[in-house]
Amino acid sequence: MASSDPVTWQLALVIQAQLQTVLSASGFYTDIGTTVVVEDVQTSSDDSIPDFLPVVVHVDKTQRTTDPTANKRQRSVEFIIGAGVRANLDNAMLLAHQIIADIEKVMDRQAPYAPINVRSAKLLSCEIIKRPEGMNAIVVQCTGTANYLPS
Amino acid sequence: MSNAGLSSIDARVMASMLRAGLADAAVYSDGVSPVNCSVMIERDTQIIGESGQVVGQKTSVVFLRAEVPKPKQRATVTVTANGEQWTLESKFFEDESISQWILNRG
Repeated sequence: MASSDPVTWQLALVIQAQLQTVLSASGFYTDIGTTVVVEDVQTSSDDSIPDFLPVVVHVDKTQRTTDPTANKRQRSVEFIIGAGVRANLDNAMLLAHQIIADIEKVMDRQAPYAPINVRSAKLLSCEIIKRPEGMNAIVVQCTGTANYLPS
Repeated sequence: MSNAGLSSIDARVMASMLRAGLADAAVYSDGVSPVNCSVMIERDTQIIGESGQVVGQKTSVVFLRAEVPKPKQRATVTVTANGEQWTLESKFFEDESISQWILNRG
């Protein structure tokens, strides 16, 4: 990560690095940290790919913060984490719950937000996307928000 | 139309599809005893997720009820020619003659 990159991009990279630590060998339920990307990706759930599909981090919408006590320059940004995993009729919901637990756990940890002028990054919600019939994958989408000072 | 009439037409259609290579010989199994049958498998795709879209299969199968009278959820169907195996996930059409199911390959 180059320090000249926009703060919001650096935030995406910090979240990416944080999610990359989600590995079962490190005490998590899943290995969704195996592949975490920050660019758009479309993945096939067919047999040729690993069980854990890429996790995608999107830093989406920025806006002026509504907190009257905050620095006037401060802005807030929304981020989205999409995580998928191959699943079948017998394990889809279990895997979805495990992914949510892992994302909540890792996002609760301290991350190096301060050096990039990001404050109070937090996860707001996680949702299990309804699996279409016949789909051999389950997808979880989490949203969060952070405050930052533009560079 | 009588059940027998409908079944007869569907059986002839299935036989024609088999000859044309558009249907397959398969084995249906729901844990009792495997049943040899003919199936028509239709393949499509579907998408889930907004960020990080996952493209998965949407595959369905048609059974003749003369061969497999009451297909069951979670039973399997295996294509004889290539060993491809699927699990029956949900029924979405059935009449006196045929039963059509969404398959899952997870």
